[in-house]
Amino acid sequence: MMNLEDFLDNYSNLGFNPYIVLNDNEPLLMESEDDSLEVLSIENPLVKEYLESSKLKLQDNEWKEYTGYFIKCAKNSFGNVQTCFLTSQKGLEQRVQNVIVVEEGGHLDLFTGCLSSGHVKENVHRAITDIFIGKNAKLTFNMIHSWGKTSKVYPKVGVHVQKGGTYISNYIVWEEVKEIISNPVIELSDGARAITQSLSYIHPNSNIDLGGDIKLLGKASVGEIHSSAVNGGGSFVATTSIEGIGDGSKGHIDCNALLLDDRATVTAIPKLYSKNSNTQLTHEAFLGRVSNEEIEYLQTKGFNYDDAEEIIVKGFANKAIESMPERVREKMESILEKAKLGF
Amino acid sequence: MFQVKNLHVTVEKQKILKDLTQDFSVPAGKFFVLFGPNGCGKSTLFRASMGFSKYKVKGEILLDGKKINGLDIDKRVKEGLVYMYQTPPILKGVKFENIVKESIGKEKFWQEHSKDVDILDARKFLQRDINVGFSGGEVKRSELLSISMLPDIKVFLFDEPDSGIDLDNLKNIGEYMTALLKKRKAMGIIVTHSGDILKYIDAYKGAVMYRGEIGCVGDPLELLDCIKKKGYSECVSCKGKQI
Repeated sequence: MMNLEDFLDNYSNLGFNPYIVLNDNEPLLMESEDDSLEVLSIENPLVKEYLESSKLKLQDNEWKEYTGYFIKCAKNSFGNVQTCFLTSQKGLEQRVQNVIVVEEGGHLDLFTGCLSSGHVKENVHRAITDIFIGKNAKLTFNMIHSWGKTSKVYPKVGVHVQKGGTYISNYIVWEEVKEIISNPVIELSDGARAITQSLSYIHPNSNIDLGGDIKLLGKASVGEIHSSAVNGGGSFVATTSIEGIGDGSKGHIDCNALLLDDRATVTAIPKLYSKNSNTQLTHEAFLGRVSNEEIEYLQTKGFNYDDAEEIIVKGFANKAIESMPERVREKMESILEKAKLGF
Repeated sequence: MFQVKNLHVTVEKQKILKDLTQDFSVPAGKFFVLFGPNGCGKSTLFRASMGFSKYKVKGEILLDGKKINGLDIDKRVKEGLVYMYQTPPILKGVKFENIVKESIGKEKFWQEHSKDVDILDARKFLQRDINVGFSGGEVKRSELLSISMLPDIKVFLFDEPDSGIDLDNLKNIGEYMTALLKKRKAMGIIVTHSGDILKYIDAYKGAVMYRGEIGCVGDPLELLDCIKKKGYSECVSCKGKQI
């Protein structure tokens, strides 16, 4: 696992401003109230005031002690924000409640990294995040994890997208982590769109459960869930669901996983539910080893077996991030460049 | 330089080559041409010689007199044997430039192969996923460029380089292959059905393969003429008497 400095350089730092860091359960110190972009500590009374006046309902939170942020991108504004969750104490359970609001016509790019300090063991990160995307607004949520080998991570994300709005989630887990269970629920109104893409490397003894549920409530709403995993010996589960309710809605699920080790297990559970004959829902999946034909092809170009396999795995990863934003791709490509995957 | 002795090859329990013995050696810069109908074992000979895992081999495969059976594919390449695919697999997410980077490096590639890139009109596909959506000509040119980067090759195996391409590509590919052999002082073995590519290469010797056996060896242009007139089976039964 890398240290904070490396993490910021290699994973997280995109030069976005503001860049907010949430350490353990300490409150967010850096707040900013820009006309277009507002960043507040979740416990700031202004947050409660805004949520009540906007009639935005959050997921239940029974914690007494927690940290978190409130980010609001104002109507027809554009914003970039970087966030980082950091744990620095052994055994600490970090509890986070976040709220993200992108008002009508707004456009927010959020880049989030997560990290625990090198010496920290057995930390747990729990997060409740509510995301509200207004009419014709767009949020691109980019996450690159770098928790520790013994970290456990349990985010609960709820996303509400109003008419014509767009939610895009790009979620990358490449560094070793003990467990992640993340199954966001996304509700789409008329003409709204959601695309979630994840790429994971599952290390031996890791359990990564990345799924999601998209509810196509509105007319002509569109949802896509793309899961890609390279499994080096752990457990990967993709429990995904798309519910076609709105007239003319469309949904697609796919899951692609390469198994590099006999200990690796992959479970893909796609669920498509339709209660409207005028919906179109599809799914496809590939789970298996790297194709021997592809490896032998590269061997005829002079590569030995291990190098050939590594080239194909990196190609698989590159394919998975192909439609992610350029900045995410560049970060991931630099991670892959340095990575000796150990298989 | 390249020969097989008492070669038996089985693919998924089906015997394809039975006790094949043949010396394919020709002088450097020249081609040995292998004719034969579909399914007679020409590609099997190439792929078994390279060491593809599906091909179970008994007998001897000799490169410069050295037995290469049992070596991994990449080790055979290092010994000096290389294979140009007829229909290579697609590699999603892997670009030609990734292969360059992981092998000879970008700087060396552009220093030593920029001319090859131009001749093969390769700039168009260097940054695309390998073989994904490639035209017939692009597949062949990409294959040629990739094998041209390999050092110390003594024997090039060309598996139907003239299939599925137009006349311009045929000339371009044939001339490139000829120049490649001369430059590398290597020999080539080429499988062709139509024989159209023979006008662009220095075809020194030929043979007809039929049902896993070599039936006739001789001048490749005369062999082609015979095949066109009488068909493969007649060509085999005559055992070269009419050539």
